[in-house]
Amino acid sequence: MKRVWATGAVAVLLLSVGTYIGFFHAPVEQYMGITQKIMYVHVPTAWTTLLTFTAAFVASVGWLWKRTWTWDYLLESTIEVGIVLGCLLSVQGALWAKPTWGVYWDWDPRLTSVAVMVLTYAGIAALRSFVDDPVKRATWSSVASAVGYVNVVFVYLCVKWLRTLHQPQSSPSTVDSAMVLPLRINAFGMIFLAIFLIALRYRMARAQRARELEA
Amino acid sequence: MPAGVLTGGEEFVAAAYIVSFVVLVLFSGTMIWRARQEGVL
Repeated sequence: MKRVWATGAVAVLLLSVGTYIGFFHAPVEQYMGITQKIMYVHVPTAWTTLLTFTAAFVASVGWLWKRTWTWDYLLESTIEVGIVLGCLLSVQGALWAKPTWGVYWDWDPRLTSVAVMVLTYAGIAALRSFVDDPVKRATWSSVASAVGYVNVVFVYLCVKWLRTLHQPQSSPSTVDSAMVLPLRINAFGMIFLAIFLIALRYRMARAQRARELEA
Repeated sequence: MPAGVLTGGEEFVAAAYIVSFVVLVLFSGTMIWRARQEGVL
C-alpha cells in the first residue's frame, strides 16, 4: 500500500513542479501568447489518456488469451480512469480551441475521434454494469475494448494522415526546448497519477470480483 | 503587435487549469473514499 501512496505523492510533486516551471520559467509562445500555457496540462492529459486505453487494450487481449481475472481487474480500472481523463482532455481542448480557433468545438477528425473514443469506452463501462455473469462481462467487454482500440490508434495518427485543424502531435522535435522540460515533467506527473488511480480501482475490482465469485 | 499574434486568453488558461485541478482532485478523492469504503485502503 505504501507504493500506491508513494505513486500518488510523486504525481502531486511532479505536477506541481511541472506546472510551476511551465508558468514561471518557460517562455511565452510568440504566436499563441499566454494561451499556449494550456499545453502543459492538455498534452500530458492526452498522452496519459491514450496510454490508459492502451493498457485497457493489453488487458482485454490478456483476458481473451489467458482468462485470468487480473486482466479483467486491469480492464475495469483502466476503462474508468481513461473515461475521466478523456472527458477532461476534451474540456481542456475546447478551452484552448476557443481563443485560437474561435470555436469551442469543430467536427475535426481529431476532436471527433476523441469524442467517439470516450463514448466507446463509456459504452463498454455501461455494458459491464448490466451484465451479471462475471465471465460474460469480462469477455464481452474485452472484445469491445479490443475493437474500440482501433479508434484509439486513429486518434493518435489522424493528425498525420488527414488534413486537420488540430496540430500534429507535440514532441521534442516540434516544441521549443525551453517548453519540453515542463511538458515532460507534467507528462510523468499525469502518468503517475493515472497509475495511482488505476491501482486503487484495481484493488476495488479485485475485492468486488472475489465477493461475486463467492456468491 | 504583428498580425496573426494572439493576445489575451488568460481566462481560458485559468479555466483550463482550474477545471483540471478540480476534476483530478475530486476524482482522486472519490477513488480514495471508495477504496476505503471497499476496505482495500
